[in-house]
Amino acid sequence: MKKLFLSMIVLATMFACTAPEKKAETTAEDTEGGVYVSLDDKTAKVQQLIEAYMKNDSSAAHDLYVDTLKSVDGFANNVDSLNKYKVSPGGRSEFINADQYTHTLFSDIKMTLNKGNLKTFTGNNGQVATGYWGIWTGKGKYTNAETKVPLHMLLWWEGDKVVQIYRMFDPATLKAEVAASQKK
Amino acid sequence: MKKLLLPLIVMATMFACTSPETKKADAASESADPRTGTFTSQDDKSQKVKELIEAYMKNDSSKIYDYYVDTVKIYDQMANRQENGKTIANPGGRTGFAANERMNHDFFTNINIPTDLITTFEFKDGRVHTGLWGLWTGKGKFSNKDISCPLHLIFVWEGDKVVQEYRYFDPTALMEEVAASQKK
Repeated sequence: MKKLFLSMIVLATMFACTAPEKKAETTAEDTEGGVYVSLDDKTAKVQQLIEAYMKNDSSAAHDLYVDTLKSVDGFANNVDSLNKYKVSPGGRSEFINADQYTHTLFSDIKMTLNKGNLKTFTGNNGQVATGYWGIWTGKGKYTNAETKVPLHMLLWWEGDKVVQIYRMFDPATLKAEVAASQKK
Repeated sequence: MKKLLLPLIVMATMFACTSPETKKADAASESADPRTGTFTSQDDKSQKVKELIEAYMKNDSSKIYDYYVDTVKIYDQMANRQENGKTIANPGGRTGFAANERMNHDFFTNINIPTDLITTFEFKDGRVHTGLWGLWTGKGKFSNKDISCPLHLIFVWEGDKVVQEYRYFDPTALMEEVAASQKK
């Protein structure tokens, strides 16, 4: 009887190990898994980058981006014949110029920096990326229209530098402002 | 000796439940950062999102009815669709969403979304989100053009159901196809 009881305990303990649902935990063997945080240095650096951008200050961008920065804008049809995303030409300098150009089109540029807008992800495969999910706002200098644009960005790190940036947003109001600027 | 052996087996089996090592955002999990957690692509929710996308490509909305609550809120992250700092949800809940998804197939053929970048994020505070990054492609039925559109989706789970979905994409090509359909 005792033997049966103990065997049952062993079996019950073993079955307890089989969880009903495979959860989003990660192990070192899970090459597509990892961890994320929001209070680390890289998240803080991207926050500083955004704060500087809002002031049209490119010094943080020069510090953080490698000069060969690869930037990709997730616009419709912005792919090559093999459906690979097109990298915008010009590396860091052109990327910064384009950021500065937004200040010639819009005033009062703000980007939300609420808790949770920024997180840094470290993959078990060694990749590190900081993600932003927030809202960009500005007032068109030519249309005089207030605009709000949800923005998602991923910035990939190598060491303490950003080597690649991916941005996704609806470019409708940006295009409208560019068109208005060319009419005047 | 037998008496010692059996408790040891029970204990060993219990400890086996805690391996392999589970990463839990080590340092951060002990801090006050509630926006920390783990991510993986090898969980059940990532698999469910893959099934949703595969069904969508076949114009099959059955998985939407399986996995979404009927009051699901769909947030299309387009410019100037915000109120009080948050994107306005599309009307119609699950039924409206399923109808919109089917409508895509009225405008495009050969719709494809790669399902190799689906990841589930489990926050320390209990929230669970699944993210998808991919390139939506299709051929316009009215323009006869091949269209590509980078897409980022975030599914917010409560239990085993999707209660919210956030969609980031550039709607330019979709709107052009709708315009082309109205000319014919």
